[in-house]
Amino acid sequence: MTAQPLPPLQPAAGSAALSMRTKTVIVGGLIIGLYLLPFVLGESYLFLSIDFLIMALFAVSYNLLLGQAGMLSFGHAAYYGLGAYTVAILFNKLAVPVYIGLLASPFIAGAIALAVGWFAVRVTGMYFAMLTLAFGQLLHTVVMGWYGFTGGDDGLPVMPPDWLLPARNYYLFVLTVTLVSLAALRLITLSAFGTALNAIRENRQRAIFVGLGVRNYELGAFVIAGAFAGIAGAMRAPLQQMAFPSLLHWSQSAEPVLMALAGGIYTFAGPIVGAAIFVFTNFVITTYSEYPLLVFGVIVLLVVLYLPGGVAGAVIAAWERLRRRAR
Amino acid sequence: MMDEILIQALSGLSRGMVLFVVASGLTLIFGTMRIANFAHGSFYMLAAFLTYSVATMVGDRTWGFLAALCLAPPIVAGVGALIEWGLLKRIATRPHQYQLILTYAITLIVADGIKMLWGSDYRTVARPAGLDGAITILDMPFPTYNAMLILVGVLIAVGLHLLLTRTRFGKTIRAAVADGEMIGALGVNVQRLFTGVFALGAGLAGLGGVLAAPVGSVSLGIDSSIIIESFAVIIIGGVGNVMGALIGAVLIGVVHAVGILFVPKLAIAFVFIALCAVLLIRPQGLLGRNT
Amino acid sequence: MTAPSPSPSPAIVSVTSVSMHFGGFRALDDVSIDLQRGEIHAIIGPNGAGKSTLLNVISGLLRPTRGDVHYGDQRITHVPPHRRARLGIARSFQITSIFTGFTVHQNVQLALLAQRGDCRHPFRLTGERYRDEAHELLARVQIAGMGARMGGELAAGDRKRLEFAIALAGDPQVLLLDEPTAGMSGAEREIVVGIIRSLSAERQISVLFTEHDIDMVFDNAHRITVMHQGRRLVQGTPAAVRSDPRVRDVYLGEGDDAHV
Repeated sequence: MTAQPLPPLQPAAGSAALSMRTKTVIVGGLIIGLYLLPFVLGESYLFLSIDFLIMALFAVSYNLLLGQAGMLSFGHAAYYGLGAYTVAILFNKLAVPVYIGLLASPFIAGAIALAVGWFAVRVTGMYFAMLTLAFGQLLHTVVMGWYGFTGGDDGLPVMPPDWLLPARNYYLFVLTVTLVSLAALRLITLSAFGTALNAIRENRQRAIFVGLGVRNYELGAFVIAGAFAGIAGAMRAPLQQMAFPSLLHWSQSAEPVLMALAGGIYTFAGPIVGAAIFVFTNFVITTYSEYPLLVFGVIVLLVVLYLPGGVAGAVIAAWERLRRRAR
Repeated sequence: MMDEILIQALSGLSRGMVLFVVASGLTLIFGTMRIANFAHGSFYMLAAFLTYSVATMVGDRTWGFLAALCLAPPIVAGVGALIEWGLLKRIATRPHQYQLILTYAITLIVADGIKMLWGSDYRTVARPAGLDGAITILDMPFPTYNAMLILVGVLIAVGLHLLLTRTRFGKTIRAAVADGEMIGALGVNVQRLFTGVFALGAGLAGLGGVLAAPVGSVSLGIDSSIIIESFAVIIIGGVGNVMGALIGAVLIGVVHAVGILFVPKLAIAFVFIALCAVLLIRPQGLLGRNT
Repeated sequence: MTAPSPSPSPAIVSVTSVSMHFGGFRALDDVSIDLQRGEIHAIIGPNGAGKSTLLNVISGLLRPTRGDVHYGDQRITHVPPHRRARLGIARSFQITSIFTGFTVHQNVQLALLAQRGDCRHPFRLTGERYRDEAHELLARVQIAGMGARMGGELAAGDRKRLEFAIALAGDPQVLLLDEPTAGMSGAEREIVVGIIRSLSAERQISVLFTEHDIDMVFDNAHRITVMHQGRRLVQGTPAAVRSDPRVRDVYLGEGDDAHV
């Protein structure tokens, strides 16, 4: 139609950073590295790595809300916990093995997210944060109080089958499930639906007047995020061989927010980096400090005050400064 | 059975009054500064522990409680002012999530700080002399202290109403709640207003903590239960509206207390059913403004 | 009880006896107006006359306290705004509303995706979809060369043109424009006016707009509605409106007939 070639629609995302080819190589290398990890790491570090993988999925699922749609949910742990309880309840009541329970978890967590989201998307901003928090605590209380079904605050035991018991096998299982889930989430963020969520975050009013029923899209994002959090939770229960009500508690809900902010919310990989920072910091603090919350709180305070782009953001900024100076 | 429900409702009313005092502070902070302050429950918990320490130091239970009543709320208000002035002010222009996370970090620090200073044991605070007995209502005993709480709650509601309608400070707060952007244009020192409101709100949380200390247990973890209920109160009542907070708190207190009679473990669910009903009918809260 | 049946006129939008109350304040008081196919129709009036409120009622941002809005034969009084956008009622805002964090091209691409129902699919990749159409729309408002720039970097006039391109992505029948030339330089104004005229003339799009610049209104509108304190004062051709004594009285201030 026109003589001159059209400019590409997508700006080479982070064009300053990396080409598509380099990215593919890096991601591919990382994946291979992750699959080789259990053959070099000791068992205790392997458990830490499983923890990281689960938290990474939890954080990325959350960032679909905060980073992509601009929805500040503070009750995301509810769906994480529900995923864990889906596995636990199916195992205890119907003797369903955990890997089948895991398949059911996104549907259960997503269905409850649909029920909660139906109310919650009626409001926005801080109001939405309070409401999701309140509903999350409601679900926590129900799980705590419904002894007959959930075991109350004793929790519910979960026993993985023999082949999943060795740390190496469970690691490989979790790695595969996490990678498949992250790939699905990546597709969603790059889809027309994901673009619509970006648009709603950018300018809600304009999004409405290009024909987007914004509440429905927010509800959709809430359900998808809840479903993937459910998968993360479903992998948590067999790891601890237990589902605890504390998985739904609001202090657990703060964790994906922290991870996303620590890593940076406007990139897909940000929350994954945030999860690595979070899991590692947490491990160090709980090992060496008698007052882990205090230390952790102070670190969070300092990050919020002095590193607005998160740890990863600060590293990237420093890297860019270095590169500019080198030129 | 009917009498039992009535007494239980009355007991819920007294609990609701404590909740009102705490939530009124939260709603003023939210309404003025548009911040959902997670640390509010920490202020409440801090005041409860301060009450324990002051009462123990003074020795006499009546004078001890009165001393705590005079000391703890201003101390907590001071802590609140410091947090606003030293921390929140610095990130006032950043997106909501940073403010939320900052107040969340404060809850962690306060929780472990209290654990460091007071340990993790349960503490109890004796009721002042004269308020430790019971009065008879419908041939049933009702704790005098709880009856006093209802009275005090009403007095504080009236006091807050006068503060908001009769004083310059109060009128400025109401203007800020109604239209946050206008307030700077009116020549108000927004910085001082925010610090003042945050201190006032923290002080109210502290007052709630003192009042609750002799009826509940003084222990770690009371911060998170009160903050969730306070959020529910201000969603039901409408942001920035003190009378809405009164209605919401009483509603939650009574519904919860009566619910306990029927489903002890899941009574909180009734609170959320009320919350959902309000959201469906009036998303802006019962007395909230339609924007 | 019974909604008045739509008149058999070729009106594309008809507003029938609409009132809009905010508490005790009547922003609109029994206003009726109809928009013909392909016409350029201006709403003028002093501040607080209810012009923006009327646009908001038609676009669906506000639901009227009383009265009805029809789009063709369809009663849309209770249709939510995003559905109206999909039906073909596009609008611009007084403060130009675009996606500042998207590139210019992405702005239009998103509008195309939204209007064509692609956004419902969580696995349909955005990629380069509708690149050519987006380019064409940008060319129509003469900013095709800016596709790769961020929306937030544009000057006021370019932003407004981008907003037009976004509006056109839905292939609208009706354009509602709230002060389309506010805050623009003379040259920018002329470009925007040119676009409005060509849309009406070449594509039979009906344009309803509010405007403070009286000269712009009288030079370009086919019909003018004058509003005052929430009521419709006069409606007619520029010539008729110009000579109406009531317009002189309330809109221009008594005796001041210098400009009209």
